[in-house]
Amino acid sequence: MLIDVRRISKIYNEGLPSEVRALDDVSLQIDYGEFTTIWGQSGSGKSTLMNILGCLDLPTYGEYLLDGEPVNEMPMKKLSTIRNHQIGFIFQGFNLIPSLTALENVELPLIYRGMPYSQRAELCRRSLEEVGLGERLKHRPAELSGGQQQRVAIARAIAASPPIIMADEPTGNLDSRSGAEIMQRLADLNEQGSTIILITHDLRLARAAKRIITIHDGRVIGDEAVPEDQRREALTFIEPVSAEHQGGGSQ
Amino acid sequence: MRIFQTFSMAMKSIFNNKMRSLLTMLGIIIGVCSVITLVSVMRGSQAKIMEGYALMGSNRISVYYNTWDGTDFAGDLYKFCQSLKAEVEGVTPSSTGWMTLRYKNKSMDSRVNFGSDQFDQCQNYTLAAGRGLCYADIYNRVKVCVLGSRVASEFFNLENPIGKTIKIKGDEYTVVGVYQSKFDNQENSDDDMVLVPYSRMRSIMGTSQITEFTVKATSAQNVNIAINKIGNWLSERVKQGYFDVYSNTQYIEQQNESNMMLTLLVGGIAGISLLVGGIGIMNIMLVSVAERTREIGIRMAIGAKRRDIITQFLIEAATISACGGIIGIALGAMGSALLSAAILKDVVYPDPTITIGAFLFSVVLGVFFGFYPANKASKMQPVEALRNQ
Repeated sequence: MLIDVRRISKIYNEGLPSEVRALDDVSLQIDYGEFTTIWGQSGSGKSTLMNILGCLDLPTYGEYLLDGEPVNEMPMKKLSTIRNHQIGFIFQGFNLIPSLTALENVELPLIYRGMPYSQRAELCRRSLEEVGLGERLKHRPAELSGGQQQRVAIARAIAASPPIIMADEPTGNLDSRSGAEIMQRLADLNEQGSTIILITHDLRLARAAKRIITIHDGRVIGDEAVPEDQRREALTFIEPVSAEHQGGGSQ
Repeated sequence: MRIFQTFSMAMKSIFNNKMRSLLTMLGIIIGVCSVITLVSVMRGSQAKIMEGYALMGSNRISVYYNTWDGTDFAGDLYKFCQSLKAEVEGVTPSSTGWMTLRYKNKSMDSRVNFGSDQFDQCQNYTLAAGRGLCYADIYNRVKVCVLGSRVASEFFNLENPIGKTIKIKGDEYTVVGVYQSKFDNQENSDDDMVLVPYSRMRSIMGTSQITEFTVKATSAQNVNIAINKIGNWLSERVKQGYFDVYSNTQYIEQQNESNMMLTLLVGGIAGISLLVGGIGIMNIMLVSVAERTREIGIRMAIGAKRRDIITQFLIEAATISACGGIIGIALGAMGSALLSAAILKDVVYPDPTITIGAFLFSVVLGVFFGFYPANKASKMQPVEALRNQ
């Protein structure tokens, strides 16, 4: 089992009148190669769950085993290494560093990994070409459109081919066309063997995955497989746009 | 992460904020510049003073006594000094008197030194022409003289003075030698003098009692031994408090020490501005960390370790202060050249030790004052840092 979460809770201001149970006794398992959506309304605790699954945050109670290893007991340094080697993040707000060029942003995780320039530059260039930004290597985030920025973020997440990709509302700030492209990209990555965890509030997007875990008020209230016909429908809904993109090149 | 990468990132961040970086550097620039300028000029002036002492001669011992009752044991003292062969190289009376000297229709006031045949080595004079005094001149009270370079140039200009006669107190003295200039023929300097045999003192000054001597020791180590021996000899003959035996090396050492103190003091005061510059770096780094909270969060989320974040900000702080240090050194070199040219009439460049020291100090300062902000940055929780807009 890749991800094994056992009865975790995340409680802010515990014991105070302002106590918030962002996650309440959540258990779930995700296996290698799955394409799972964590679906919930805003405030349901899905982002908190992603932060914990992504080793950015630790649960207040409960146990999280990643690849069989208990994350709770890991030192900071080990958590950094896991984030660096195992997980590719695609954040809602892109989270690119404004002073660095597209290429440098994509390079950053590999720099922290200690990969030499010769190896890293090639990998990152290829990754950016893959998302259709081969011509925009030297552009800073401010010089790119929202869709392009999100594609830089995807390039950064996939450059080192991490086994897990976590995407938090990856299409949140984008128009439907750019959003569709990105969903297609995630589906492709899953076909190539990556484990994808998508966090969204949009049921239409959620159905592009193979499995939907529904979360409400910090609790898992549903966990079902997406029927193949619904999934196809979700992906066909976006397919024409992405076909147009593949034919017409980048904007 | 590789240092080179961190370094290039730090450079990028510095260049992205040119104005701010420059203002931050300003504190270090002013600090380093003033330390270098002040210390260099202080050292230059000290060197100049020491040069003056060196021209006056080293290993000199001054002997002075006063018997009041007129007992004269100058001859005995002279013999005693001569007997200290291991410690004493030469001895000469050092009595002087201001006299009007005449040559043809010219006249000038100058110092008349009454010396022995060892006067040259004791007082560090070198002959430019002719000869110095010899024992026979003294023994026979011969009316000869050796001219200091100022007197020679005032009286004789381009003429050859050797063999000419000048008048002192009505007597004619034959010039047998001329000394080389030590102080550019300045008035009242060692160049403004004329040497006559001490045996001529009675006819010029009206007294033959010699109470001042200059003794030249054979080496710096022997100065104190000679001082003790002569002091003991005198204490058996002269009441305590009526004689003095001292060396100018002691005085020079004291002078050196107090100069050093002064240099340290001035350097320290200038160093305070460096400290203020360092605090400026800390201030700006704290602002920079706060501004870049989100960036730090992103870096942590994609795998930066605490150490990576600390290194990044430390290198940034050290680079700012090192750049400031380099600019400060350049300005300090110009400053000390200009200031020393104006004050000392001599161009002094900063000592390499001071320069390297100031540079290293500014880097250390950057690291020291950068540590707190860097550490603060590295202690952020990635989730909270990411939440920051």
